[in-house]
Amino acid sequence: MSKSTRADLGAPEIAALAKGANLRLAPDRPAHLVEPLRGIFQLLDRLDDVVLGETAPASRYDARASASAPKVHRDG
Amino acid sequence: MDELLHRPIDEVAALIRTRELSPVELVDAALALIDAMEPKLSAFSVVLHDRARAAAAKAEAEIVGGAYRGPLHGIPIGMKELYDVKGLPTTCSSKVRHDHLATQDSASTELLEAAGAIVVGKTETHEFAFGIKTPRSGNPWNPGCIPGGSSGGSGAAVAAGALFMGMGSDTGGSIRIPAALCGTVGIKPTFGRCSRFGVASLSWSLDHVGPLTRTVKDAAHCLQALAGHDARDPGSADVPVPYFSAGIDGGVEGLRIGVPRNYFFTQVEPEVEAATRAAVRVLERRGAEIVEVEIPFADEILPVEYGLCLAEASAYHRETLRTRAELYEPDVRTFLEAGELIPATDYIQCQRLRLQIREAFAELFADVDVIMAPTVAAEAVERDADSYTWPDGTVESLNPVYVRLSAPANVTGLPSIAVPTGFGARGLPVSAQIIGPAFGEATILRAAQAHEAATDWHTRRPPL
Repeated sequence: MSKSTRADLGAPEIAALAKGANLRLAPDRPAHLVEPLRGIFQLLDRLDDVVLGETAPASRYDARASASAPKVHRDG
Repeated sequence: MDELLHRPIDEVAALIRTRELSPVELVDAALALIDAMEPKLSAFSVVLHDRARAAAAKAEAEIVGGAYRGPLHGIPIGMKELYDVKGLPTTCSSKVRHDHLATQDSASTELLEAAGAIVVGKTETHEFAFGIKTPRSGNPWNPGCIPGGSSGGSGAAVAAGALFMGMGSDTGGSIRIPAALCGTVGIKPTFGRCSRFGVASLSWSLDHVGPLTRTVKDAAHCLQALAGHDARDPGSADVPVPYFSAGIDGGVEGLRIGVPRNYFFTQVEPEVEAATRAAVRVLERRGAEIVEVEIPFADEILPVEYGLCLAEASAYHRETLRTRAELYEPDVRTFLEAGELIPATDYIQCQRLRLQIREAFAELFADVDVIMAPTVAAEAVERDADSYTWPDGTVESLNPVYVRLSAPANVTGLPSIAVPTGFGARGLPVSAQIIGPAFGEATILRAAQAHEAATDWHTRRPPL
């Protein structure tokens, strides 16, 4: 069973999320967004099992920085 | 003259340099071909007849006067609709930008024109580069099929012979996907190698600019003009730029080529896999050492790509989504609204994980010099298709089918070049990509050139 709290997201929750994002959605839009947003959250939920440890977000993306990036930490 | 439009830049440049060929004649031929093919392909958002002819006349005068600039002098090229060209609208193939006017050139436009290239038009993109179809354009191998995206107009025009080079931009594969589906070469350089100044962004931390061409050496010439530090692009890297054509014919003797055992061959059409493995064997026969490799973070690459891209794109479009939402195409509007609703914590987790993915890929390159894998999982689909049905009956939405295999090089920022490797079951092009370490463009160009020199896929022409 999925531990995700957003797997069954519906139009009312999407309307509420949009309100929080200060985004005024047309009345028909939340229903349009149900399937795409569920798909996106399903993808992002895959990341829950990755242990990020002390990895800090890059303050400036730089392909050369990989040499100094933290070591990998993962579950399993 | 039409024949010359399909030749490598080196051959045409030699004729221009020795004044056997005038840039005016060449540009006129390119414009005539564009006018003839546009009713079928719609690859261009605008064709710049007068501007191109004036630039060609200027180039001719310079060359006659002894001021030859190099291999791009007098060569017809196109700029993707995301690129600013001073005095023209940068519409991004969107009604949202109908009233835009570029007041200066993008860095790419500046650099290519400084090298003498002639901009003959701007090429269609999927709206704001946010998609893989480029719905306004057709594929020259079958105009009823997509050219790929988002740089689909450039892919179609280059494959058709109307341009020697079309600029692309690549956030999840948008140079390499159309290159693959149209049967051209396309190189996405390392993040930071080429300036993105004056190019509309899709996702700041994933965007790259680069050329689509018909040959590997053509790509090297164009990359040479484009590469270098530019303080106007905050992602630009201040690193030395090698001469990319030096050693490009050096072969692959002793080169360690990593072939993934996971991820890249997991869900691909059999013809795509067979063509990629045949391309690997071509290089093995020329002395490369083949090493099986495990792609790290295979389950996380695509979520990180989408998590970063959607959130950054929605931030870029924040104002217009609130003032002109109805002008976006439905698919792009949906992506942008969805991206607004991704929590900041998810976005930051993606940023953190990207660092780990980059580190793991850097470790991979301790064991191999390049990685070779399919560019995309399937041939082009029909223009009205919204999903892809795999041989086992699985139905998948189109974006992941085409983005899945190109995304690793965007998330890591590593350079990748797509090269044609044959044709699939439906007679449309298939492709392999060669991924290198950071700033290893010279190595992937050398490997790609070794493959091209041993095969003739790059000489095949669409039946227009």
